[in-house]
Formats: sequence, C-alpha cells, structure tokens
Amino acid sequence: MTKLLEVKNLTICYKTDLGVVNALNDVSISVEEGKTFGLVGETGAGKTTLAKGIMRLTPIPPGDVKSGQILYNGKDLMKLEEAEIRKIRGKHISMIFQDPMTSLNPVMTVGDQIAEVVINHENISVKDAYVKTNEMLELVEIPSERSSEYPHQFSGGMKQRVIIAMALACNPKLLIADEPTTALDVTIQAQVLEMMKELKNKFNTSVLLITHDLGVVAQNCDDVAVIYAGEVVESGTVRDIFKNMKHPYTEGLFASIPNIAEDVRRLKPIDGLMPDPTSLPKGCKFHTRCKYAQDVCRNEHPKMTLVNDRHIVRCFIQENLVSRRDIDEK
Amino acid sequence: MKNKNEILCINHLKKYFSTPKGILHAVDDVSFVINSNETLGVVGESGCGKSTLGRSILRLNEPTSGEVIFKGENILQYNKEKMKKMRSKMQIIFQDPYASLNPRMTVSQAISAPLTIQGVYKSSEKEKIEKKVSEMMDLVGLASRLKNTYPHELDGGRRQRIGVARALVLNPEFIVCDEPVSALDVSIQAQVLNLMQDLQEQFGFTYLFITHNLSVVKHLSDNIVVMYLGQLVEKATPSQLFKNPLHPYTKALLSAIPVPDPDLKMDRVKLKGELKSPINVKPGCRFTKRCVYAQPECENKDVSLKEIEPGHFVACHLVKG
Amino acid sequence: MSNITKHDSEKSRSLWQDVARRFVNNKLAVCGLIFFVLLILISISTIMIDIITDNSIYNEYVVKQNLAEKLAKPSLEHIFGCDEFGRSIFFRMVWGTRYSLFIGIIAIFIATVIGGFLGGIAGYYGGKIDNVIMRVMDVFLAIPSMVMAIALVAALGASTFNLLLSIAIPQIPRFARIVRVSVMSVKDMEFIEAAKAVGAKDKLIIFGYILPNAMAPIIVQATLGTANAILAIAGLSYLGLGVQPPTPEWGSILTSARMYIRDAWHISVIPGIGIMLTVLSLNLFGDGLRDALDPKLKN
Repeated sequence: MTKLLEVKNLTICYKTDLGVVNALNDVSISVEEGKTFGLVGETGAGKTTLAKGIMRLTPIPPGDVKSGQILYNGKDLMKLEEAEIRKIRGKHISMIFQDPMTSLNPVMTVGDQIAEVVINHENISVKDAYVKTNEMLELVEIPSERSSEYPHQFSGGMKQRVIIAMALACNPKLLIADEPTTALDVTIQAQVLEMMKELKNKFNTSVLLITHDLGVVAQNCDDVAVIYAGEVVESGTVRDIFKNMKHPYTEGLFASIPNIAEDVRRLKPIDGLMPDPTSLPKGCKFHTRCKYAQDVCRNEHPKMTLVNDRHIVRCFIQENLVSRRDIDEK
Repeated sequence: MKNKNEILCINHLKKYFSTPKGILHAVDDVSFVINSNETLGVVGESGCGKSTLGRSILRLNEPTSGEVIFKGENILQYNKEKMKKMRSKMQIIFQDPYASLNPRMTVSQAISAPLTIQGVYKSSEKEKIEKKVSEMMDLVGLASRLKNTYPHELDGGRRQRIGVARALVLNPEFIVCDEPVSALDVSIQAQVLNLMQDLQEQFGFTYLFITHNLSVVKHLSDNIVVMYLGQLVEKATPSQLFKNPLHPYTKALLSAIPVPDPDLKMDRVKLKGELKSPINVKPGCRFTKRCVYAQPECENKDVSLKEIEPGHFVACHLVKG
Repeated sequence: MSNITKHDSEKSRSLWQDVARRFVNNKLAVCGLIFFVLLILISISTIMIDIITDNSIYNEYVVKQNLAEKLAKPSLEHIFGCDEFGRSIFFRMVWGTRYSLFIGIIAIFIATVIGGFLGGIAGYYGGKIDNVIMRVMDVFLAIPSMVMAIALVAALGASTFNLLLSIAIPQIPRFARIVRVSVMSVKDMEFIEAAKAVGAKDKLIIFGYILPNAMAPIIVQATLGTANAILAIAGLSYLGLGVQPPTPEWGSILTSARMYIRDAWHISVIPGIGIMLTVLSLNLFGDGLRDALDPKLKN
C-alpha cells in the first residue's frame, strides 16, 4: 500500500491573550491510498486544527506552525508557495466541514457554486463545467434540475450532499471530512455516510474522516487514530483499536458510550476533564485522568510503542513500565 | 386514578403553531402515562415535536388542547398563581449548557434563583440560601470553590451540572430532560448520565427524557415512545423496542445507528426522501411518503396506537395484532 | 478555545471584567476614553470655579469684551488668540466644553431611557404592541434628525431645554430599534425559559435577565450617539438655533468666526478642532467598546 498523505511530527499552537494553546503536539499520521482513515477525539483534542493544518488553512496569527512535515505524494506541502498550495486545495485535497448550513454561500445557486470550483481547477469551458456540475449532483442523488436553486431551498442532508458533490467535483485524491454528519439526524447521517462510501470506492479517493462518534468510525474506517490533548495516543487498523485497544483513554471512551447491543446498568466514564491546553501536564497528558497512573507517567513522556506492525500506542503500560494488575485486582 | 403509581398522564395533547405557510402540527394528539420513579424516553429526529412536547407539558408554551394530569389534577386549568406553585414540582433540564445559563449570574446565583423566585427563602436569608446552594453543588458534584465563577469560565459538563442543580433545588418530582447530554463529549456525557441515574435512585424522580440518541434512551428508560411528525408511532419497553421494532420508522431509525463494532454490520432499512414539517397535514399515516411498505390504505386512513403485545403499542396499518 | 478549564488558583472574572481587559488592550480606544474623561473633568472644574468665584472669572475672562485685543493672533498671553470682541479663545473654549458635552450626554440619556423602554416592550411582547410602537418609530426615522431638530427648536423657541429636547427626540427611534433587536435575540434563549419554568414574573425576566444581557449594543450606541449629539448641538448653535451668544458654546464661536475667516483663521479652526477631537474620541471609545463587547472576537 502506498501512503498518499503522511503527516510527520506536526506541532501547531495558538497564541491567545490567556496563554499559548498547544493544540497539536508532535502528531504523525498517514493515510493510505483508497483507504478511509478515522481520527477520533473529543472537543478540543485538536482534530480540526489537524485538518486545517493539512490544508495549510491554519489562521496565522493567532496560529503558529512550530514544526512538522505534511507529505502529499512525497511532496512537502509545508514548503509550497501560497499560489501552489491553492492549486492543491480543491483539486488534490478537498475538505467538508461540519455545518452544512453555513458552508454554502447563501446568495449563489448550488449549481454555480459547484461549477465555480470546477472552472477554477480544470481547464474546461464554462459549458462543460455545468455538464460536470449536473453529473456531480446526480451522483449525490439530487436531480440536476435543482442546480439553479439556492441553498436555503435544500434540507440539511441535501446541503451536505451538495457539499460532498462540490468537494468531489475535481476528483480529489484526498477528502478531509471534519465531522461531516454531526449536525444531521441518524437516518440522514446513514444516507450521507453510505453515499460517501460509494463515491470513495468509485473514485478511489482516500478519506480522512474526523469524528467523535465511535460508531461512525467502526462502520466506515480502515485505519484509526485516537487523539487526546493534541497527541495521538493510539493508532492502528480499525480492528486493532476496536477489538484490541491498549490505551486507557481508548478503553475509557468505549466504556463511556451506552452500547446498543448489550445492557449495562451503569456507564464507566473517564474521571475528570481534558487538561487545559494552555498548561498541559508534564509527563503523559492523560495521567490526570488515568486510573493506572504511576510516578513515571507523571514525570516522563511515553513514547509511541509498537503492539504489532500497524498498531502503536503511547503508554507506559505498553513499555512495561507500569502494570495494570494492581488496579484491576482491587 | 387507575394506577396509584401514575404521576403524569397526558391525554390528547395538541400544540399547533400558526406559520405563514399554514398550521404547524408540532404535537398532534399525543397521549401517554408516566409512572412515578420511572423514566419515559422520547425519541425522534429534529423537527418531530419532541421538544415542543416537553415544553407544552410544563406550559412553557401553552398547549392548544388536551389534558396534562399531574398527580390527579389537570394543570392546564390552573390559574397563574396555582401554576407558579406547581412549577416547583415540575422542572426542566435544557440541552444547551451554553445557552441555558444566564451569562451574568455566578454559579451560586444561578442555583439560588429558583429559591427566591418561588419564595422558599427571602433574598435576605443569605445563610440559608448559601447552605442550600452548597448542598446542591455537593449533590451534583461541583466543587464549592466554583461558587463564584461565571458559566463562561466552566466547561460543558460542569455547566450542565449547574443546570441539573438548578432544576433540583426546588425538590421537584417530575423533570423534563430535553437532550441534556447531546452537547457534551462522550466521556463527560457518561458522567452526567450516571449523575442523573444516581439522583433518580436517591430521590425517586420521574424523568421525561427527550433525545435523538437511541443508545442513550435505551440505557436510561423504562419505557420509550418514538415520535414522528408530532405523533407517537410506537411505545414499548427498551427490550421490546430494540429486539422487535414494529413500526417501519422505528426499524429505519434503529438500523441507521452506527454500531461501534467493525464486525457488526446492520442491514439498513432505507427511507425515501426526507423529513418534512407537519404543516397543513392531510389525513392518513404521516410516514406514508417515506415508507417502503406503504399501501393505499395508509394514505387516507388515520392510524392510532394499538397494543400488539402487552406494553407494546404501534401506530401502523400494516402491523396486525 | 472557550471551553478550557481554569486553574484552581485563578480568580473568577465576570463578563464585564473580561470586557474591561479586552478594552484596555485597545490603545486608541483608551486614548479616546482618556480624552473624553479629561473633557468631563474640565467642564466640571469650570462649573466649580463659577460657583466658588460667583461667576467673576466667567464675567471677567469669558464674556467681557476687550476691543483692544480684537482678533489678536495666538501669543503667549492668549495662546489661542482672541475673537472679534477681543475675548480669549482659550477661556471661551474651556468654558464652552460643558454645553456641548452635558447637553449631549443628557440628551442621549433621555433618548436611551425612553427608546430603551419602548424598544424593550416592543421586543419582549411582540405582536400588535411591537407593530404599533415600531411603526411610530419608523415615522420618526423617516424625518432627517437635523430637520426635525430645527423644526422643534423653531417651534418651541431657542433655549437650552428646547435644544436638549430637539437633540433627544430624533435619537429615540434609533435606541428603540437597537434595544428591540437585542431583547428579541435574548428573550428566546434557554435561560429565559429556565426562569419561566420556576415561575419568574415578567418584571424580573425583563429587568433581571434580559436587560443585563442586552446592554452591550445599547452602550455602544449611546457612546456613538453622544458624538452625534455633540455634532448636532454645534450644528444648531452654528445656525443660531442652539445656545445663544454670548454663551461660549463651540458651535456659536464657530458661527461668529465665519465673518473673519480671511483675517483671523484661528477663531474658526480652534473650535473646529475642538469639536472634531471630541467627536473622534467618542467614536474611538465607542468602537473600542464594541470590539471589547463582541464575543466573536473573544480569544
């Protein structure tokens, strides 16, 4: 498998008047060609910062990209000029945002909006661009007659489908979807996800799917990374993460969701709160909420350790420096 | 009263809004009963009228017609004074912990406001109020040092705890929970759900739990009603509903939940089209247009809930008892 | 980044304290505020001096004519020069601050209270009441405020009180509109419903819950409105409808200077700069307040 996108040691912070927010710390992930990569984490974990960072859309200031490489097909996007990166955006990498209500321009017809993207990136006539637009709309199951309508005439699920059509109009190699279905109802979410899956297979697009919903990840992704306080704490194939999870945070996430398939009288939440990103704790970022935490966790920063050739975890338990036994026996 | 445990009985409750496009049937002829110390889950998608239902029961918007019988008395006939007194027995927890707290009030002011408004204490009885506030903060797991902080300084989970404390400070018996955890992260959501369960066990609250999250409703509820375009389409216990959903809409809803297990793939029951608003509704089953099983009879004959097995009701022409 | 948790040690800050912190970071706005406060202090101290000296300084330096110094150029003795009657422009400017400033502030205060009350009722109750109030306001808005002010003074006669009214009345609809909109945006929030759910009365909801949260745009409008009012007062005085000579109002100084603009430019330039700086300082202050109050700019 070839790696389409490789993010290496990306560190991004924001300077606010309350202090420096360390939004991403040394994050490395890689998305393979034709695969869906799920990025799971809670609010403030740095998911959107990563997505924007890959697109080089980090607002500077207050943002500051401290270090890191973003290799797309082996080319480092960080080194490109603004004009070059603009050619990549939309054409090679496109992005879908969370809120379908505000991602479309309310004063342009949806057809014009899609055609504009096509005309910007492809060397084709205006007429062909509209032919392409209608094709894309049909593809997301919206009748092409509706291309002359305005966004407010569409329902939420349809708007998100229009956005998908727009994102895929130039056959991008990579689609970054930032919580694409969070604002939608479950039945609509299922429709939209199914459509994304079909289109992905059809065009062999790679997808970076950012979400907080473990169900969505399980049903749609091939590889997964769990991100906590701006750090990847565990990553691997979807089966590694869902069936053989190693990091206490990942375990905590699973224990927190009520499971449809089984009856649990009481949930086991993770204690405490996500640490303040302006003053992250020393050592392992999760130690303040981890029931296995020992002195070593509080003082030293765990390394990424291999479980198998794909599955890596950032925890001292895996490094055999901390044991679970004492706690679990209690 | 038929049942001595019955605390709240809703009969043919309707709430219509007039809009420029016509009459919106937000809640249309809804009836159900909640027993004391139980949780009734109300599930449905956005726009199905579930929030309006909760607010109509509390008369936060005045129902168009019907009865809300709370402990044997129809509160819709209460005058202003009587209703104000009754409000201490019926409370609400809101969805958005950002919008539901007054940004200009500290935590302790927010929790104590109901006490002074209801006249439990006079605002001069500072010590008593303070004691009650710290008691409540303790109960919902808020550290007392947060007493003088403002909501914008706290995270979503803590804000929602303030919302819970404010609802509980008057010792209510019945609480409408309108999507209380939807805005929270999963790990925080579990903390708040556990808190609500503990409080129910400790004080015997009755909850009307409104949510769009089916796994949460299954986890908490004793009974579940499924709402579609202002009407109830199915009512059952969680195990009946999840093992044997009868209404095509319920089936579609259940099969649309993404299961957090990569080996478990659901066969999705597909729906046609999208949810429309219940404006100027025509007779017949409201789900017909999206139902893959729709028959001619569905289009013009109204449906009502009928009992298929003990405790399991469904409103569908195609399900025969 | 707003949902980060605070350290235990950190002191709690109310929203107003947050606003103050953001405001202080805006240097221009702080300059505006300082200049404005300075003007207020000057006017208060001249009033005090008049009371203590029983107007003797006022009579001696501000209104007493001294034709020997007629149209004197700025010098060490009279740093701003003298006007057509040989009165020191410096003293006339200093003593003149109070008229524009206090008439402006009081007029805007009246407009805020009346407009706020009308707008608040319209916004909270909606429906017919809203319609009646706002249509009346629309009629007022359709008349240019300067024209209305001139008409009012012309009808009622030129006096300080009538000037006050003619400045305040055209401003009422602006405040009514702003208050109505901000009340409407707050009144449907869940914390208002929460207050209703515990049985709070309308009075408490309006004054205890809605108004404190709807204050921000009103304060901004009041500051910017004061700048407008000061301009309008100067304008009316310039037209001879405002404060009457020999009272040293800035607009009326400007008016009498008009005749001598070829021979003594300083008489018209100095009050002009005074008016400009005052209005500018209020606008800077108002803009700074708006930015500080706007939650979208927060962090």
